[in-house]
Amino acid sequence: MLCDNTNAINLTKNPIMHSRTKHIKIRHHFLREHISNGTCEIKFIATDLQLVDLFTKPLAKDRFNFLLNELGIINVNCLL
Amino acid sequence: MITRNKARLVAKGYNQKEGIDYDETYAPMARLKAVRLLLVFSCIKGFKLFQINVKSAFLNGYINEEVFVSQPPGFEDHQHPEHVFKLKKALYGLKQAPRQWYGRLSVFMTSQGYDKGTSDKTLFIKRKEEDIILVQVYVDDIIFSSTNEELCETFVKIMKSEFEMSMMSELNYFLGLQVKQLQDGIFLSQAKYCKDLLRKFGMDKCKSISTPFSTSCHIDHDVAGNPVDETKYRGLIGSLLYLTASKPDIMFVVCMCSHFQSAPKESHFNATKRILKYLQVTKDVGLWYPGNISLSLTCYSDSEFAGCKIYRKSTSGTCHFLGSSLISWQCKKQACVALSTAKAEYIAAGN
Repeated sequence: MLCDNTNAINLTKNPIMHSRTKHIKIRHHFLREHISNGTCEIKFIATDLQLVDLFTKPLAKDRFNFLLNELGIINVNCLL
Repeated sequence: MITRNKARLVAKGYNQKEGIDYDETYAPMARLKAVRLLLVFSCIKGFKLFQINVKSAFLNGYINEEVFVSQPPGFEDHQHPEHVFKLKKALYGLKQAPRQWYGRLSVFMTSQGYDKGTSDKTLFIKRKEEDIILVQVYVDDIIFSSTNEELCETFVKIMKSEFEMSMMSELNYFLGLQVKQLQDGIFLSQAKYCKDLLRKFGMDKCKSISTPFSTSCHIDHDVAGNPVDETKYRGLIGSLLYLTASKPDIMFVVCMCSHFQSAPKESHFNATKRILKYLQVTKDVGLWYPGNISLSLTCYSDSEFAGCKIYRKSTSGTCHFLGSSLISWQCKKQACVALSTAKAEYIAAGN
């Protein structure tokens, strides 16, 4: 799994308690369990390579087309 | 052009009473994600996909309850006009018909040595020495692929011995999805559905635009705006949601517009019109699944902190790749308000 927030990644690895993290209980343990079992691995990805941008915010034309290309969304005419 | 006319006897299922003439009605259905996963898996492994259809599938199910139907109009028995029919098998329209059909099929498949998938109950798998056959069932449409074409032929043979089936053909059109099987991969699109949608909403000759949403304006409830026809708006949203099966590019904006279905205003309708204008140029755009790549699962997860300007809720986004093929994606307004970006990201990853 690739995530672009180092804070969130560190939380999955290290169970530090912090006043701002105390509400993230159930999800915290769900993810941590998967990571300690080795069924899932989390890595950092740079923000401009984060492909999910397409699903979370409105984008300008250049960025939009770049992401379409990266996700494998192409026009049928490109195949010919 | 009409090629064929069909008539079907349908029972009035709305008169049924729970506990008397029906009990359980749930029937498992294949998700479109599962269908895409099968496409990608077959493509990577280099299998060819086939499709087959069961004719009048629901008529095959047996029913356990006592259900009576009156004589169909025009076909009454003159000597006994007061008599009714007792059903032995399911009819279209009965509430339990889909469940009974699935039950019959799954019992038959299990008796033939097929194993049901552990999480997806509509996927049937059979292993024979080194070979494997995968069968995905969507109510009466069946797609299947195998390492060995002989297994496919035996599958069709046993199905034909039990049910009335259509001809087997290579997979090319399934649930409105156009599938192109090429030498080096599979191309998935919904060009025909898209064209019909544009014609239906009178936008087939509209101007085109390069992105489906504008980055500058935010949509809100727009309480003072002019109301538009709710039914039409909801119909449009429903059609667009189906289009996201092969067009993840409009996923975000369709989800955004679908928040306003209860009281759609002109500003919301204009936003959906912009999607249609975008579709005008991107009718032929679809997903490309290349073959000969590794089978590794990668997931990207991100969140937009306070993406929803009305309630300050964040938007989660995740997408899954098998190799380099996009198989599933999600865009979701989070259920609770996150106070930090780290929490918003964490919620997105935990979903």
